[in-house]
Amino acid sequence: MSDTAYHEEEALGRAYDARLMRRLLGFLAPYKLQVVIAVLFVLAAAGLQILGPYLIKVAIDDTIAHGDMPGLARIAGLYICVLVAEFVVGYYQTSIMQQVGQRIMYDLRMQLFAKLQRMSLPFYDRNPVGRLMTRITGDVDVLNELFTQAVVTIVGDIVTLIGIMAAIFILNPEIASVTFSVLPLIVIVTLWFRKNVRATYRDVRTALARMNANLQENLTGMSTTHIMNREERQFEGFRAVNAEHRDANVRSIFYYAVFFPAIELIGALATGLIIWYGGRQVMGDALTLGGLVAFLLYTERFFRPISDKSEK
Amino acid sequence: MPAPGRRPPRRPPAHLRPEDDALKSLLTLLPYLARHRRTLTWGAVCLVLTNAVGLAAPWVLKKVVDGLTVSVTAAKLGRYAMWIVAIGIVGGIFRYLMRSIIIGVSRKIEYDLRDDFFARLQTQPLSFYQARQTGDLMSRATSDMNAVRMVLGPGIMQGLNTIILGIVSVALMLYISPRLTLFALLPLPLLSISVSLMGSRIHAKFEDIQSHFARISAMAQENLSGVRVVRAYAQEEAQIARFGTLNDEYVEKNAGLIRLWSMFYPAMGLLAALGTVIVLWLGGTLVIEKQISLGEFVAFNSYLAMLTWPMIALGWVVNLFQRGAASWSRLRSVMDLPPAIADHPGAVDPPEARGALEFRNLTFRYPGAARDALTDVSITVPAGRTVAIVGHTGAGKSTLFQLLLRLHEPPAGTVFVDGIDVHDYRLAALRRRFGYVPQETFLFSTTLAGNIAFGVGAASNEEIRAAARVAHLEAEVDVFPRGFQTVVGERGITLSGGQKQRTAITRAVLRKPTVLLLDDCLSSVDTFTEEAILRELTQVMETRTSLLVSHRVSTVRHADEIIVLDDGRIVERGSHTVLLAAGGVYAELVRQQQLEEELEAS
Repeated sequence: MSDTAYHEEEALGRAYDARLMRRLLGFLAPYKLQVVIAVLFVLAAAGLQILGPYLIKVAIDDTIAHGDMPGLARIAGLYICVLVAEFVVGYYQTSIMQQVGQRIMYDLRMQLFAKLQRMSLPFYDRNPVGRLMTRITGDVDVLNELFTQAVVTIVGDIVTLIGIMAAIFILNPEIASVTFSVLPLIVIVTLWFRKNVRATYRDVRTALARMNANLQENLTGMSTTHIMNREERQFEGFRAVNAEHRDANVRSIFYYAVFFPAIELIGALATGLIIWYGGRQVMGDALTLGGLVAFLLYTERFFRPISDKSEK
Repeated sequence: MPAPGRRPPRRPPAHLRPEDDALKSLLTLLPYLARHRRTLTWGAVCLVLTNAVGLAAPWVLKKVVDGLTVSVTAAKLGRYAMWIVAIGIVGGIFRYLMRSIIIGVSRKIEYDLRDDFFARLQTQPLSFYQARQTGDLMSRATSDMNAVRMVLGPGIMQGLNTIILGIVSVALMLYISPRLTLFALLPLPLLSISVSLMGSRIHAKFEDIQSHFARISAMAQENLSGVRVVRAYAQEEAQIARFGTLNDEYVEKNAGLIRLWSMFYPAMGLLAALGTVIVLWLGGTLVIEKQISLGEFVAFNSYLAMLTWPMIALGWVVNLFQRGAASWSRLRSVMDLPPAIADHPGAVDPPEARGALEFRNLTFRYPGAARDALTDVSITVPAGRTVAIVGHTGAGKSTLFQLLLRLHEPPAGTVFVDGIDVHDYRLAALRRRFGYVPQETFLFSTTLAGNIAFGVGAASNEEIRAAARVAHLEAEVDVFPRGFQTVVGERGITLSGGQKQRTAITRAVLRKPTVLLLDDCLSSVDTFTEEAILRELTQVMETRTSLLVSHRVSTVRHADEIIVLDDGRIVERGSHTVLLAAGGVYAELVRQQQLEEELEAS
């Protein structure tokens, strides 16, 4: 039990191994076209997301400031079009990647199964069925997640963040540079978080595997425990691994509990900079009021995805 | 929310499914929460403060924008900027505390629950485990337990967050403009409802797909386990084709889920952003009409954005509670079971143990079985004597042992140890008298020494060695590089069947039992060694009472009495010589085994 858990862990670790990644990318090859289309959709989605705050800037500067009600209505209409486009693009982007993920899993499973049909019998003596099953089911799953979830979400997020930065620089390079002086802080905090979370994640996984192994063993050997009057000591043993699991989890809470507020604080710092520096630019007519609002909205969009995910 | 193709949470049984009842059953978790009352109160305080501080930020923005439309000094702008940063710091501290406290408590409760679950499992009798699969109990202790923890931690935290953030930000929005608030909030309930609806549809589809996946796994498992048969009949291609068909169906079924899943987040985004458009249009108009200021317009937008996430999360929280409730019901179905076999009031622990056993007109039927397992069985084993039981598989031999140990509960007044009904013993006192070696040896994945000392508080090396010597195990263990410190089981070496059996005997011997119960426990040991072990076994025992089951005549022939069981009834009894002369079932058995021996010898 604990053994297979360790194996799974190994598999997870190896899945991210660079050399293996390259080999795995080979499985993507037959679906080049779909992947290219999906990437285009990712780019389109990021572009559409950037349009929102810009439309609000235009609305404030060009219509509200001049009392232009029909103009305001036009921009609201345009906004709705952008939203619908975002919906369509978002749908196809996810759907294509998920389908590709399914096809790859299908290919992997079929290849694996066909290969196993040709392995020599001594191979089966060396490899317990349980371990082979983990390869066919668990490991293939891990890979699918890697493709469809990790890759798409990470690529999508990165593209969106780059898009927002680009938009801000086009809007006003000076304020943009001031705002993004906080970026190194984000990098530092994120690196700190990643390093520690990875370590605690491993601890949690190990503790979980040990607890499960202990439980499994105790359930299977329950009557042995009964006839040997061993209930109390087995209970103590379980309590210990249960407590270990709890403590590993409690330790990992710390990093999450620090990370998200820290990111939010950096966001607040960026907002403060925009108010202080951008506000003075508005006073000196170097920036429009709508521009300032767009800046604030972009910053919010930049930081919100990170803090939103925090409560999950 | 699960993504397609991942492991399933199990589906609740139908009787648990009126969600209301299940949700109400969550209230029974309150005692667990109450234990951490004080900590949780601090958590709630931090939660309120986190939100209160966070809600001040848009108000500062309003001041900034309004200041800039009229007139503002650079110093004032600087102060506003400081305010925003201060809000970030204070809010962050409270957010940190909120998370540490509430999630921390949820982990502690999870621990308490799992301890209780385990303790409850320990009080369940053999029949409980025979009726259930280990995997099922494991999934309760892990995935169901986790679902319950998700309610207690993130569920409660996000639920309260949503409520507080919702109430306060709506109040502030109403303060800015009631009319704008009304229109801006129109899409939000839609958002929550659609998250909840789509969430449960995705979940249902997901489970359907998982059950199909289980078929794929089962097929692969069958194929891999039966690899020799597949090869022998050259079925490889046919198997690949079958596996392909199952996989094709899986991909097809997944297509439906992918459609739903792909729509999920974009649909949420669309519904969430509708409010922004309404505020842009209607709010912009209000600014033009000078009913609200531009600053208020900006602050309003911020509050709306702050509301959006909790509304999305609300749908998520509802699903969390539903799933948690179903899981909790499943856990309770085990945790609420009373211990079926426990000490009766006034149970005794007599200091003296002689080792006399008696079964008196014992008739026993397993709960739910159609036929009696034992019918009118009477056996007396005087202290210090050996009685052997022979019979076919399923004749009821092991049942006798299990009743003696109260692994199953015998009817009152049928089973006696030293003249006292087993019901009247304290359970621990009863079992302490026996050294029971069952048919199937179970070893825990620890050292050999640990396994051998399993039934005693502590044992010295010398005691362990002495016991191992009796079971003819010592010499073999000494060959292992780490001797008795060798780890066995899944993480260590694999013992042969005979070594396992002798380990189990050593374990029983070390207990220095009054009565030895040997349930066909030397089947993997050769006849010669078996006889030697049996001889030594009886010598080390205090009273030398033993009850043994064997298929081998050589084992049982020296017993004081031999009982032949068939279909739960005693068909013959007497000493070896008497039974042999009677020419019945036993005599037939002896003849058969002699024949076999001769065949083997020739």
